[in-house]
Amino acid sequence: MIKLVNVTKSFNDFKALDDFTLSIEKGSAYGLLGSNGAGKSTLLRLLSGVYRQDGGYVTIGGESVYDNVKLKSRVFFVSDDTSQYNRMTLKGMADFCKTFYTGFSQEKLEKLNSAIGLPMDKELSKFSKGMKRQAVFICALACSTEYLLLDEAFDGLDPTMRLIVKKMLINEMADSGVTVVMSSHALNEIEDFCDTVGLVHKGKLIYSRELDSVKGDIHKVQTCVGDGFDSQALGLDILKETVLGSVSTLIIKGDADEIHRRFIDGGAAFCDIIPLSLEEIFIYEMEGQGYDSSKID
Amino acid sequence: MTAAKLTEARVKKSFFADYYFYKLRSCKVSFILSIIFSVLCIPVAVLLQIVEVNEMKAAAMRAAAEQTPSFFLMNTFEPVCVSVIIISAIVLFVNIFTACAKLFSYNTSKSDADMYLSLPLTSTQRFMADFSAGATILALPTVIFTLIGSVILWLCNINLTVADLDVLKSIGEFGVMSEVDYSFASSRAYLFETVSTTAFIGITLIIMLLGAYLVSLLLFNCCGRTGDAIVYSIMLEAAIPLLFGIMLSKCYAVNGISNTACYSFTAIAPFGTLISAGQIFLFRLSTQSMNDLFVIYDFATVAAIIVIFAGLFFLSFAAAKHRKAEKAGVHFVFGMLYHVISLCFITGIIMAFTESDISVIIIVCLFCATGYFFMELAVGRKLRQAALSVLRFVSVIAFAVVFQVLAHTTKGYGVNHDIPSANDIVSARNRSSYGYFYDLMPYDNIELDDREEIELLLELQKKLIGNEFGVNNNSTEGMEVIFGYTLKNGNYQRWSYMISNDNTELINEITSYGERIVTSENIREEISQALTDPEYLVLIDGNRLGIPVYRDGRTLFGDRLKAETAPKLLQALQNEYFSDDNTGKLYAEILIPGLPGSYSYPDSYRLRIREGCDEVISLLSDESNYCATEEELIELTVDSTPLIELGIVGPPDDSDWLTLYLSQDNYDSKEMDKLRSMLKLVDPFELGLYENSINMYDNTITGVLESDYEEFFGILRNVCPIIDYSSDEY
Repeated sequence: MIKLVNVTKSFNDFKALDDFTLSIEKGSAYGLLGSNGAGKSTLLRLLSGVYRQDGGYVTIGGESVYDNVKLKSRVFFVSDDTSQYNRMTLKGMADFCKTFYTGFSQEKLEKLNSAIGLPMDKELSKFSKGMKRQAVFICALACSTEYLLLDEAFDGLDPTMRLIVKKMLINEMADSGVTVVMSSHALNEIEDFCDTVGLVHKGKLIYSRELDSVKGDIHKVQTCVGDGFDSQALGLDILKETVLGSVSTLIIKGDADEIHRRFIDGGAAFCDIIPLSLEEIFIYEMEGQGYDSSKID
Repeated sequence: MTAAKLTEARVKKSFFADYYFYKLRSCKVSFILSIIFSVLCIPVAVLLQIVEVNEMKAAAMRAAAEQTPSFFLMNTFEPVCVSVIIISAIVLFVNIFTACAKLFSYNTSKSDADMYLSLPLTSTQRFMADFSAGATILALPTVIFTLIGSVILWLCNINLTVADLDVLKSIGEFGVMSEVDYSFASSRAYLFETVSTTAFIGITLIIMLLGAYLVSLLLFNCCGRTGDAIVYSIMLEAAIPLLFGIMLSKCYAVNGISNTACYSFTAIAPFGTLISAGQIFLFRLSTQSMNDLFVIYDFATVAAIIVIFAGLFFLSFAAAKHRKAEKAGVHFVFGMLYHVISLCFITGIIMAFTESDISVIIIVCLFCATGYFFMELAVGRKLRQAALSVLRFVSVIAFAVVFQVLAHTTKGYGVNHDIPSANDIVSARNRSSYGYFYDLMPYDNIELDDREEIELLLELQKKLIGNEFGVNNNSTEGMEVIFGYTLKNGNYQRWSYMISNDNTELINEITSYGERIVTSENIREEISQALTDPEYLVLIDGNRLGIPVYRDGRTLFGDRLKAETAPKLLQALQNEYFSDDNTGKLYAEILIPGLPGSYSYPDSYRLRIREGCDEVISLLSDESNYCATEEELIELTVDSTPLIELGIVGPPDDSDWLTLYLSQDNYDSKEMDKLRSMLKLVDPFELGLYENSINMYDNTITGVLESDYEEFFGILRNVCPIIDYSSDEY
C-alpha cells in the first residue's frame, strides 16, 4: 500500500503539498486529478524518491521511499518530460533499464514494441512527442516493476495509441498485478482505466474515492418545474443550477433515487437524471473550489 | 509471475557498480578525449626528452670530433612538442567541464533529475559513483601514461651522462658552439633527469586535473545551471590563489617576497600548482642547478594538498546530500558559496591595487563595482536587495584597505622578519640579476655551506628587512637580489628584493658583503691549500708575521701571537677548523695573512674560532703564546717586511704593463711615490679590466714602464722583496 501521511512539500514560499494524506491500495489503478500546479507531479516525484518531503511520511509497503534502494528498484517513474532520453535510442533505453531494473525483459519489450513499431536504433530526439512517450512507456512496462508512476500518462498520444497504451496497462495489471498511479488531464482515459481517483487542488486532497462512487455521487438533473418552485428548498447539495424557460438543469451531489424522489415530491413535472462524465464531474468539483471559467466572459 | 515476485527473485543489494560503468559509458566521448590528449601530453613530453637527449649526445660527439654541433632538430621539434603539450593540457581542462556537466546533469536539468534520481540508488552511492567515474575519466589516463613514460625512461636509462654534460660545457667554454646553441644546450641539460622530469610533469598535471575536477565537482553540486557551474568554477580556481597570493605578498612585501609563499600556491590547485611548477622549472633553468624539482611537493605542501582536496570532496559530498532535486535550474543552491567566490575574487583584485595611486584605486573599484553589479543581476538578485549588495561591496573595500594599512604598520604582520636562522640552514645561495650591477656581485650564485658565510648572508638580508637602505618595493627596474636557503628539513626558501638603480649606498653595501662572503668562501679553499704548502709556512715564519686575536671586539692578551706560534696555529687550524669541528659558541676571531699572489682578495683573512676547536683554542688561550711586552710587539711590527707582487699583464711584444700588488700598507711612501711616477698609468679598459675592479683594490698599481728598468727595480728592491707573479719566486 502507498501511504502519504501529513506530507508537506514547499518550493521556496510556494506550498506544493500541504498536510497531504492519501492511501492507495496495492494493485489498484489510481488516477490523480487536479488543476495545473495542484501538486500532482510533486506527489509522483515524492513517490518515486526524486523529491524528499519537508514533513510527514511517504511510504510504500510501510517503508520510506527516499534513498531506499530496495524499494526504488520496485518503482518506475515516467516523467511528464521525456527529454532526458533524447540522446538514447530505444535500444539504449533498454540497456539503461536492464542495468537498474532486474525485472527487465527484452522479450517483453520487443513484444510490446511489435504493437507500436518504433525503430530500435533511432535516437529519441528524432521521435515525435507521442513516440517518445510510447518508447518510455513500453520500457517502463518491460521493467516489470511493482509500481508504475505515470505523470501526464497520455500526453501527446493519439486516440489509437491511447487505446493501445490502456490495453497494455490493463494486460500488465492482469498479468503481474502492478499498481499504477497516473496523473492526466485526459480524464476520459482515467475514467476508462482507473478504479480510484483522487482530486488534488492547491496542494490539498479534496477527495480520494473509487471512481464508481465519485460518479454515483454527482448527477446532472433536468427537470421542468412551474412558477414558484424553489429547488433550494428541496434540501439537496446543489452545485450548479441553470434555468432556461421552464426547464432547469442542475448539478447535484447525492443519491440518484433520493434526488429523483425529492423533485417529484416537490412538484416537478419530470426529473431526468443524466450520468456525468469524469470531465464534467472534475469541472463542477473544481467550480466548487472556486476554480472555474466564469471569470472569463 | 507477478511483478512483486519477479522483482523479489532478482533483487540486488547495490547498483553502485552498474551505475558507475553506465556513467563511464555515457561519458565515453570525454573519456576518449581524455585518453587522446593524455597521450599527446605525457608521451609527447617523453618523446621530446628522448629526442633531445639523443641530440645532445650527438652534439657532444660532434663537438668532441671538433665539428660544429647544431641543434636543428631540437630547434624545430621542441616548439612543436611544447605547443602540443600545452594545447593538450588546455583540452584536458576544458574536458573537465564537459565531463562534469554530463555526470551531474541531474543537478542542472529537471528531466535528468527525474531519470537519475528515481533510480534505485542512494544519494551517497550516486555521488560516489559519479565522482569515481569523473576521476577515472579525467585523471586515470594521465596517471597511466605518466607511469608508463617514467618506467620506460627508467628502464631504457635515457639520460645525459655527466660526461656528456662536461663535453657540452667544455665545448661551450672553448667557443666551438655558438653562444645561442651553448645557452640552449646548457639550460636544457638541467632538465635531463628524464625520469624525474617526466614524473614531475605527470604528477603536476594529475594534481592540477584533480584540483580542477574537485573545484568543478563542488560547483556542479552547488549550482543549478551548467553555465554558472563552469563560470564560478573558473572564478573559484582563480579567486583563492589570487586572494591568497596577494595577502601573502602583502605580508612579505614590506621588503621582499618569499618564495615559500609562492610554493605554498601548490596547495591551491590547479592554478597554484601551475604557478609553483612553472617557478621551479624557471628556477632550475635560470640557476642552472640540479635542485630537486619535487622540492615543491614537500611533506607540508602534500599534506596541504590532501587537506584541501579532502575539503573540496567533503564539501561537494555534503552539498550533494543536502541539495534538493527541485533546485535544478536555479543559479546557486547554496547562496553562501556565490558570495564567497564573488567577494574573494573582487577582494583579490582590489587588494592588488591598494598601493597604487588613488585615481587607479578608484578606477579599479568602479570596474569591480560594475562587474559585481552584473554578477548580482546574473544570479537573479532583485533591485530591492541592492542595499545588501552595496554593503557587501563596501565591506570588501574596507577589508582591503584595513589589511593594507595593518600590513604596512606591522611590517607584514611580522611575517617578513621570519627568515630562517643559521642553525636551520644547510646551504645558502645568493644571486643578483639584471642591470649593470651584475658584475658587482662576485658572489653571484655560489652555493654557500659555511656557517660564517650563511650568517653574513642573513646579516645582509636582515639589513634589507630593516629597510636601512630605503628599499623600494615598487621599483620594477634595477637589480633583483635573491636569497635562497636550503633548510635542514629539505625545504627551500627564497626571498627576492628589488634594488633601485639609484640606491648607491645599498649597492655599495651589497658589494661589500659580496666581498666578505667571497673572502669567506675562498679563504677555506685557499688556506686549506696553503696549509699543505710548506712554502706558505716558511713565508709566514720568514716574515715574522704576528697573528692578531680578538675576542668580544677587543684583542686578546695584548695584541698578537708570537711569530713562532704561527706554524702551530696553522697546523691546528688545518686539523680542526677545516674538519667541521668549528661549531658551537664563538670563542675568538683571528686575522691571518692572505696568500701572496692571490688576486683580488684582502691581505688578511678573518677566521671565527668556535668552541669546537679545542686545539686551536688551547693555543689561543695560552697567554705565553702572545707577545708579552711592548718591545716584542714593536719589534714584530717593524720587522714585518712588506711584500710586493709584480705582475706582467701586457702583451709581450709591446711595452710591459706592470701591476704591483701591495700586500701591506707600511711601505716607504717616498719610495712608492717614486715608483708610481715612473709608471705611465694607462686606461684600465686597455688592460681588459673594468674600472671598478681597479678602484676596488687600493693595493694595486698598474702602469706601463717604458724605460729605466734598472732604476725602477732598484727602488722596488729597496722597498721590499719582490715576488714574480708568474713563478711565485723572489
